[in-house]
Amino acid sequence: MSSQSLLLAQEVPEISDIQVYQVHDSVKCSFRIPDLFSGDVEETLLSGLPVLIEERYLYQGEQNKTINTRIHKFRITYDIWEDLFTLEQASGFHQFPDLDSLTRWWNPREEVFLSSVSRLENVGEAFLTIRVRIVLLSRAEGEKLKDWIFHSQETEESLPTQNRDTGFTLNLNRLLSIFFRKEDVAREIIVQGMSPIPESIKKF
Amino acid sequence: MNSIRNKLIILFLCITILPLIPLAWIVNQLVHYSYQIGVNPSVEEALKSGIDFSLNVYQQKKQHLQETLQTIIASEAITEQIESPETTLTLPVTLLPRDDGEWRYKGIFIFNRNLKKKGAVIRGGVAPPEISSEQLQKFFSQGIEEVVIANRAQNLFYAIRKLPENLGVAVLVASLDPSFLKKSDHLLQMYKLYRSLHLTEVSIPRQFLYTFLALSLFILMATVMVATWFSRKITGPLKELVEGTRELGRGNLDFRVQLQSQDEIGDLAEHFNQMAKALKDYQERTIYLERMAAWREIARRLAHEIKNPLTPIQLTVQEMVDQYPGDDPEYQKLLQECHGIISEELENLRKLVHEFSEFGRLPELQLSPRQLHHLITEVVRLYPHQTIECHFDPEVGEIEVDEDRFRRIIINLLENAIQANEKQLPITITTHKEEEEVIIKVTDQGKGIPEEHLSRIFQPYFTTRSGGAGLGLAITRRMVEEHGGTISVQSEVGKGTTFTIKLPVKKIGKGGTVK
Repeated sequence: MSSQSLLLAQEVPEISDIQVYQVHDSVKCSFRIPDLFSGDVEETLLSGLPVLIEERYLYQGEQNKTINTRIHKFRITYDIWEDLFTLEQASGFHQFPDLDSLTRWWNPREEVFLSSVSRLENVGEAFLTIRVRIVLLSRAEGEKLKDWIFHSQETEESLPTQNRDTGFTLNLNRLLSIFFRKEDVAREIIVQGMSPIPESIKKF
Repeated sequence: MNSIRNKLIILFLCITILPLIPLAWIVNQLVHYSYQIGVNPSVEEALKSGIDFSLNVYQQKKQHLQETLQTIIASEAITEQIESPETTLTLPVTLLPRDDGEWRYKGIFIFNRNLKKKGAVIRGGVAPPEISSEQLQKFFSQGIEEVVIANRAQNLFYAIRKLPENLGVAVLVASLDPSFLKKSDHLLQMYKLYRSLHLTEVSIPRQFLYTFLALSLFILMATVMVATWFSRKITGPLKELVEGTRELGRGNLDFRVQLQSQDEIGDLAEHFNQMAKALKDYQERTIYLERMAAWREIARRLAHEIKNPLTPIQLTVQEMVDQYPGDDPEYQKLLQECHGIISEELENLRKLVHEFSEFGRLPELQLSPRQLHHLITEVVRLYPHQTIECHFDPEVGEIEVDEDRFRRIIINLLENAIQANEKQLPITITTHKEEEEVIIKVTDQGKGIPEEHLSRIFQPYFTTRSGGAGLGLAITRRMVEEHGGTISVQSEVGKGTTFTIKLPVKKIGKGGTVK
């Protein structure tokens, strides 16, 4: 079973204001996802669960042929006790005291490096596809959930020699857990937007 | 036969699959319903309330820690020494407050405005991990007066506060009651799990449904195996019966179905075998009766054709003898001898004709109740020079028989026994009553009958003796069967022969049918 988005249509964030431009020898872009940290995303963050965001930038040419791909990954967590949002990425981490400051950092996403200008040399009609995958329940969290479901009789007080389960219950749990795959327990939202690449960039 | 097997398998599958469809729907509904019992706004509300409460308590504790640090900074021990040019401060151990039930104080560190450590008070002689200089620098650069930096994983809290007039920074290190941290973390963990359950409100019930379907598929496969085995158990015997019917149709009346079943199919097989035996017996009897009818027709014709010339021959020979004047005594003597021989042979022919005639046309059965033992005894008396032992069952009383024919039966059997009894050993006659039958056995200790002759011994014109017509046992068998009985023979060469007659004790109708 593949993971699926279960948000209502009006709750799904949308990518807007995609702009592709040249900065010196680089091609960059900017865009917005105004409602990114709302609805299920906000509630998930505030519950303490980590939210993973994967931004995938694709240059696509004629017949949707992919010319180039670039990926940025983020991990956002909220420490309830310290009331602190932490955003981790490959280049380091940022901390925010509240959700608004996190949202302001994110929107708009500006000067996101896509490629060098030469990458678009002699490329005909092309466009940029931005695909943002927001993982509300990662495979790791899904595994924790699955473990909790099938070992919920165990408590922190139980000693290794104590076994409160009947043999039948334990065996049934093991049997059921065989059919559960952690990837099937994951939840994610996918948001996508496209923009043509200006001719001025391709003809340098 | 395969179609019945397939039908049974399909039937089993239908019985298994059809309930599965509503069952799957019910299971799906139940799982969703169960899910909603635990995953609903009221539960979320309760968890959030618990989290909020814990957060409040946590903030209060941190506030308390900060206030404690403030009190320490305001003490004379600090204020008197803080402007001292000494690089280190001598701080009394009493500066560090006692554990107050909320916090376990581990140490105090004083830093100058250059963030160099000037003094410290440590409880227990074991220094807690110090706050990093980066964190201190960050605090200083943020321009705030106080902060509590928490390291919940190690249960270490650093309350940081600026000293008056920016002379430096004081850091109070303490630990919370571990049980509070544990319980609040546990509460948060549960809230996260609740949130996870909420996010998987569709996928997890679906997984349970798929699990149910997978297990059902396993059960289905087991059902197919059981159905296949069961259908083989049912159709196998039926196949045997079909084969048996086919063999009977081909005329193979010796075919028997080999089944050991105790149920209705076993009964059917047993009755099938009985039917096959009855058909074979009927076939053999029909053949026998047809053969007997043919033999009787021949015997009747022969008797008729031979009988007629006998008297003219006798008279002619007599005339020849009477008309001779007797001139030649030698010739007259010859004539008398020839007359004697011819007369003797004619008499033999008459006997032969009589036997043929008797075989060809036996008179109607004249039944009347008779004491068998008396009849047998009367016949035995006809053979005074032969040792005949009689063993009679007192249970045998009167039965309906044709008196003359019964005597003839016993006479024929005794004649055969006597002729075979070369050593003049005793001949035995026994009677025995069994339910609806009387069994009569005539046993001799003669030379016996070879096995290859046993099956033909009751056939007309079969004889191993010279001079016999071979009709005696054929006539005996016919007379026994007219009484509704049976006759059989057991023999062993060199040891003797036993003829066994079984007569019904019920009333016998015409044609030998038992009423």
